[in-house]
Amino acid sequence: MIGRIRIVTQHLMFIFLIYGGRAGIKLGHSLPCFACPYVSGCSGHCYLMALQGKWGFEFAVADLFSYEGFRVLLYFAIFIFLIILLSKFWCGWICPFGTFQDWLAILRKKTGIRESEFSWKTRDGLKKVKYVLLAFLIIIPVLITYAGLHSDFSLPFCQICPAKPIMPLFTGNVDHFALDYTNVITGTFSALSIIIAAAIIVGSFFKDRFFCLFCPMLPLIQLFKKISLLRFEKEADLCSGCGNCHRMCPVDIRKVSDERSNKAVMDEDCILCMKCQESCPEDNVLSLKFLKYRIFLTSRKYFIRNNRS
Amino acid sequence: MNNKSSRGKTGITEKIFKKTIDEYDCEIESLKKRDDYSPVFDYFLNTIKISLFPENGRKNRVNPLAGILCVQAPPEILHALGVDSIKLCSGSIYAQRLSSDMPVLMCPVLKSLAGALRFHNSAAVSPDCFIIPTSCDWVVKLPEMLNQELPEVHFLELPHIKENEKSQSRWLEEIYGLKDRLETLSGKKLNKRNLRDSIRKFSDAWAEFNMLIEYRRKGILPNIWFTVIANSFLQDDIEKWTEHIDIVLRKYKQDKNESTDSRVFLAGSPVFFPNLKIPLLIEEAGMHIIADDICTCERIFPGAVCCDDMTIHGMLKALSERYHKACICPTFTDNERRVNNILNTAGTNEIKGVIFHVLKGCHPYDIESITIEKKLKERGFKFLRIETDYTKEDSRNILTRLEAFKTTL
Repeated sequence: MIGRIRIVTQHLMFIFLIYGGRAGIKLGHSLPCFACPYVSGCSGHCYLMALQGKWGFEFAVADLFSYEGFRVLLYFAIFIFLIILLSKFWCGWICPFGTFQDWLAILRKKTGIRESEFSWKTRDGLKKVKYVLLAFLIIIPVLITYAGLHSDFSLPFCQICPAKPIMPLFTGNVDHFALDYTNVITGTFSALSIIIAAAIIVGSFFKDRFFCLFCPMLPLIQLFKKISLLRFEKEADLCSGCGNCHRMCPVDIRKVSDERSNKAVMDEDCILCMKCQESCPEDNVLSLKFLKYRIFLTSRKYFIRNNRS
Repeated sequence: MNNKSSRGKTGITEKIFKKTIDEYDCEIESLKKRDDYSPVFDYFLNTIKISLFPENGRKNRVNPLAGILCVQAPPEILHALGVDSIKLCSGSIYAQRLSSDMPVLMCPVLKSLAGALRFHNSAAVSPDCFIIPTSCDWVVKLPEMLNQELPEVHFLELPHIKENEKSQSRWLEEIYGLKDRLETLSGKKLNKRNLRDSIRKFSDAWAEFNMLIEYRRKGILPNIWFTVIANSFLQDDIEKWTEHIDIVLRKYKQDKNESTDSRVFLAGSPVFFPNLKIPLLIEEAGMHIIADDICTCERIFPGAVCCDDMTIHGMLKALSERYHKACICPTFTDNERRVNNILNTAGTNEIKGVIFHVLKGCHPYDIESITIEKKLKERGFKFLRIETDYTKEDSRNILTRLEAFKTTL
């Protein structure tokens, strides 16, 4: 049942975020999901653009007590507030780029092609990529401001982000699939962008949530795990270790299955899709709480109802 | 087929076979005389007896027949390929007499099974293939001890460490090997739809069986009948078995929870018909078995298989993980989750005592009883270890111990 509610929510959020601007909705620049600003008529912007662009922290230091400096902090505060409020729900339930990847996965399932698998070693190795991207998107703007790096390096992550060429397609805009011949930098970035977008489309077809394995938003959300109102917990003593949660996880998290002592099991890669919770056949093992209120608690009865033919 | 297949029953085999039939009949008769007997259990009692007369079991079966030992081989694959399965297990004390050439200290289950397999050395009735996961040493050496009397043996090499990648992919390879072997046996190719349907049928069976577990927890369904039903798993078509469980569930649906005291958990070695010695003695001592972790009772199913990737690979992977990672057989290196299962089930069902049944020669359970006893006592549970075999001579002694144990609860 949760799976169905999630699909409906995802689609509503997709429409809301991609086309909402046309109905006059403006959610600002601090959304913790890939609501791509390059989509004309979108209702809100991904915070990664603000972080790399004119509301990045390097500008706040220069104009700490100005209105611009205040805006930098304000956008950051809104970003934190949204994360504290909904945590990884932004990824599994709201992010339009995540929904797009889920469509590709559905397409794969319809065609009967099996999902690609990574070895545990490769999967663990891939975890580092998102930190590299995060460092890249924070350091380059600092270098532009303080070290004289060419301004065409601005918004470095957006330049290569696969959402930039892909998401505007839903409003009929194919412009970002073009090469930009202005100079070597723009040419290289636009070529990289097309290659990465193509790789992510192919990757997401063969592997669930392929881009999420590298998404730099995830570590940013994870930073506030301890103060988030949403808690993903496990009663390790009740777990039978059946491995359903690991197998059902679109981003192959082993922690939920393997954890034997800690209560908090929200992994850095978790997108809170709740597939693990739905597939847990044991009573009271995994739970999702909002403050003290329990949103979901695993139970055998739910599992049976959900899996009966 | 081996050279003994055409051999008829010798005098001694015939004699022991008759004795075994009497043993079964006697146990069935005494069960039918119980106050809690109902005709809804007749199907299960008749099904259990099928293992003695495989020719009856085969009468309506045109498909190849495969015998499955232990709980780690997924019957879903057999069912999907149109191979009938029969559970290999035996609780007969008389059948053991046909395996007197085997080690004295051999596990009674395997000794009895070895004897029972010697009843029917005719190709017409014995399974076409024996699927044996290498769970314990006795199981591994059984075909060798039977001197090649088994026709086709397919071993599944069971990795005893569950939580590393190597062992999981190793087990998946074994499951693929089983698929290939069964494809050859049945002459069919495994297809997606059949496998999916088969998984669903077994999931439905598990869901019904799970309700039976609930009824036993509530004290509605007597333990002895639960054991009989569980013991008859895989002796007949899975859908038929599920239908009859549904009949039992409907019978008990209206019954109210019985508040039973002296609720105990039965852990340890397999209990298989007609050797119902331990559950019957526990009952006689005035205690109620509310839960167990026995592979011939509550643990016949590792649970339902759920799967997101509905390709053949995805489903085989789901099956392989379910039958390996979710299995809490003591043969695995890690028994923490097995202990947790006892602790949690006992904790949530007002169970105060755990009776640990060790069959003499059943080493994995024997070894494990030491650590389990320590952990259970630490948590304040009463613990009683009973080491016995299929003989009835020690029944009085065990009963006295059980009665004394009851007073401590």
